Amino acid sequence: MYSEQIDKEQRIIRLFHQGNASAMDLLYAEYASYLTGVGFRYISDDDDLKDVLQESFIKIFTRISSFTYRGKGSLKAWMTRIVINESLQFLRHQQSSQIVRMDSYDLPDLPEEEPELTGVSAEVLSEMIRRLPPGCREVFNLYAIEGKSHIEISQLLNIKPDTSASQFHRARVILTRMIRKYQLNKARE
Amino acid sequence: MKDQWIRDMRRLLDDYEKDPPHDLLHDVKQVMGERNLMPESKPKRKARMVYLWIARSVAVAAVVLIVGLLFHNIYVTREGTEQQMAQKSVSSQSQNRNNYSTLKKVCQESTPDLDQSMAGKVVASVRAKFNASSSSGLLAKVSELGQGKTSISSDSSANVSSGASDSQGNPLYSQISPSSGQNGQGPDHSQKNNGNVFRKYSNTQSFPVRHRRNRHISFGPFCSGAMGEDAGPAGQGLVMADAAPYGPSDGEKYYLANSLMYGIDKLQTKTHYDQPVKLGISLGYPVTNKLSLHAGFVYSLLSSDETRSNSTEEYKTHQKLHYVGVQLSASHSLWRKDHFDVYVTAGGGVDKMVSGKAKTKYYVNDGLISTTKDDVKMHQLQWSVNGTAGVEYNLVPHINLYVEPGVAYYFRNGSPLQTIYKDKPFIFHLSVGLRFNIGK
Repeated sequence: MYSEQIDKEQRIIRLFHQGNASAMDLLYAEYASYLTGVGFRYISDDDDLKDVLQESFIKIFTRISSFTYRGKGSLKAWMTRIVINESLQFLRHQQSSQIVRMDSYDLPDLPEEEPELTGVSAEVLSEMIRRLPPGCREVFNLYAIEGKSHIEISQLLNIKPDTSASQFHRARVILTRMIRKYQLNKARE
Repeated sequence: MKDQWIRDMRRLLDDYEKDPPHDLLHDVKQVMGERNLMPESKPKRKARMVYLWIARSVAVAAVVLIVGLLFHNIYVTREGTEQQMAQKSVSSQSQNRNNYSTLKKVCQESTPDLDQSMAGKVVASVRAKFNASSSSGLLAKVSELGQGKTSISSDSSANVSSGASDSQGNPLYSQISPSSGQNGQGPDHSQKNNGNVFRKYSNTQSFPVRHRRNRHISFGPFCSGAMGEDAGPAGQGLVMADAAPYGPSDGEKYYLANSLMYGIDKLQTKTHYDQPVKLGISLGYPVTNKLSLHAGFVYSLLSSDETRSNSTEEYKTHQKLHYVGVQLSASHSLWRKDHFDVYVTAGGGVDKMVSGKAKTKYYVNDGLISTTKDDVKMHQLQWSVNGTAGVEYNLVPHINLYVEPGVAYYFRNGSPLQTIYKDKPFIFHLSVGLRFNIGK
């Protein structure tokens, strides 16, 4: 599996360097679904998601010559960053005031419970994350999924670190509520 | 375990896939064709190097041209003066047979502050007299010598536009409409000069060798650069917080299973500061024969390059800050002979940042992810004190060339913005300039 991954990424990069006609098709076939899954968590509208993915792939195709292969998954990580970055830029453009407005939201008055993921599939979880309110959705993705710190997020989204922390708390509470509701409905079926 | 749910969530979503939008690849290729974009087949390091060499050559040529113009002006001025002197001498001869006394008189009139001992240097004195009338042409000339340097820097964007030659016959490009590549983020070019501290001219003002004695007000342009370059780790904190998209870890981040893959290990910061460049003009008022006061108006350019990187990610930020400020200083002449004057100055000043830009490029595994441009602001004033020792040479009457090494200290102003003033508050500098004296 490990060697296959390396061979796959290196092969794609080599094809691009050689100007091989199949390079774009091969990269797309290999990673389009994964990258769509990444963008799906950030962009709630399907048309917008397509726009973001389109710009992401254009950047991937036109900038891959500058990419340096550094081992397993490095190409995948690079492309993931591009999709996330494009998603954030899109959201920043589209919802420039969203981060500010979300500060005034009332946080749901729920106890600090951690969500229990039993019975929740990746698709359902992604859909739930996608339905988080804008603003806290980005914070949640960056903190919980991408592993960014609140300081990093604050600088990335141009908000205060405290705001990032409070929005993450808010997202967690909302997500917990969604998961419970989902699990409850599933239990009744 | 605390936050176990986050780890579970990451595992669940790690390889999550979803069907891409319909016809996405087709649309991508179509849009690339419409925008005349194409995949780059190979990095264009050679083209970039050629470009850099061209840029460097142009910069060197510009410096040579400026210096050439400066000396040409001086030469022409002197030549013209000699011609005028000759004409005047002839005229004087017709009026007065005593050539020597006439020339001496002219000399004394033109340079009343000249020592009697200098009076014998008839030619030089007469030349000086006529120089005075044409010296204004030099006002626009500022020489930048010594530590001053001009260099071309570029960020490490590897996305130099691909040449058309690479696309020819390349089957990859047949999928989209062929054209010259251009997503290239061309290398940034910024002139880096050294320099610092406005006072150079204000200091210089201090001792116009011959004219000061008449207490003429003098003024002149100057430029300066710091001595040497500073580079190194910026230490801690939010470096360029206004511009940087990411900052250091707060110690609470969650690491993915493959942290290297996602590059979330801690970012290390390195900052390189270009030598500050200062241009200005100052007025000098001679209080006594040896003491002068100076007030100057100064423009300063601070530029820096910051790199924050870990094993995977890299943020490269080029920052340019523009300041305007005022300087007050006093100078004291230590030694003066013939055309030379040695002096010391001390003063202080305040600068206000009027404009700031930061351009950040984000790379993952050397691949450019994004380029962002931000405005940088600083509301606080930047106070400083400085001292210099200077040597001034009187080129021609009313025009002095000076060289002033010195040191300045910049006080902390509470701004979170990382600048050379904050990181390296003591700055050694070398100022070179021309000083012009107004008055008879």
